[in-house]
Amino acid sequence: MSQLRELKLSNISMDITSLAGLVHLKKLTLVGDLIFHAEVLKNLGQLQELNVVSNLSDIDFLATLDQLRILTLSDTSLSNIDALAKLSQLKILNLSNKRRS
Amino acid sequence: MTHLQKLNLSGTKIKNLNSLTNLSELQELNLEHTKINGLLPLINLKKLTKLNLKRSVIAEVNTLSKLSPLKILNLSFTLVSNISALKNLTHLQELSLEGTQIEEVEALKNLTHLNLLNLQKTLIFDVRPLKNLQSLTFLNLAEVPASSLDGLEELPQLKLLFCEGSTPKKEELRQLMINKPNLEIITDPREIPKDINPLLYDAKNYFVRFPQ
Repeated sequence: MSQLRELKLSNISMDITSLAGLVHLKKLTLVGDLIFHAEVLKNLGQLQELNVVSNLSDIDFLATLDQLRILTLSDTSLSNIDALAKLSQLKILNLSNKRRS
Repeated sequence: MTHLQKLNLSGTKIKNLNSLTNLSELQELNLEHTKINGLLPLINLKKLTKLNLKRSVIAEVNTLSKLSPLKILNLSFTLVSNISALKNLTHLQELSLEGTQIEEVEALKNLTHLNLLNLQKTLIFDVRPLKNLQSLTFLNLAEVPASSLDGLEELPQLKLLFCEGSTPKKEELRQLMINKPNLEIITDPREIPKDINPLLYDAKNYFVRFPQ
């Protein structure tokens, strides 16, 4: 599966560390309770579009994904987005929160 | 992030917009349901064409007068009561002021590109300043205290008018229908077309009051 270009995983509650090998992924969507070490995404350096709907609190792992053009991080509990500052290709950023506090 | 074109921060806890100052390529910005404390950091966003401030706590919008490329602006359910800053926004095509405390629309009289205007639940008494809006096609006057529709017969493009719960007399509505046979007048929200632009009619309010 290492040639996979697009992947969408909805309603997940599983370990996704096995994604680390999908180094050619360009588009990835993850929805659900991510019981995982988000750092696994660090390896996906070809990602151009990443959509995550989950209660993330730390996004430092995104700093290396410098090909990202479209990024959605919904329903998070982020207090700091400094990691995004260096993403020079980023055109569309969606941090919206529907589960309003 | 300096090439960012679209940014959606709706429902986030952002208060201060200072970090957006340098996003000079930004075209669309969504700040719905936020507690932002001022718009001044947006003053140099010269490419901004779409701005959503709905249900934010913003009360003062003077900075908007510098954002002349704006085409779509949503100020619904904000604390805005003075819209004089909007008179320079001559590129505006869609504007919602629903649920605000504005009492007059004099500032809108030269916005000749305006195609959609939502004034539902505002305190407008006089709609005559709208009579020169040559492009106005969709107009929401539901739940407004305006007692007369004087001036609306002069709008050449007007196609859809909401009047639910507003005060104009039946006779006046009938006269408007005769003068403008292509105009659809909606006085009962259950008749609202399914594909309506949400900027013109707050779909959430609609479903709360009229559960399907």
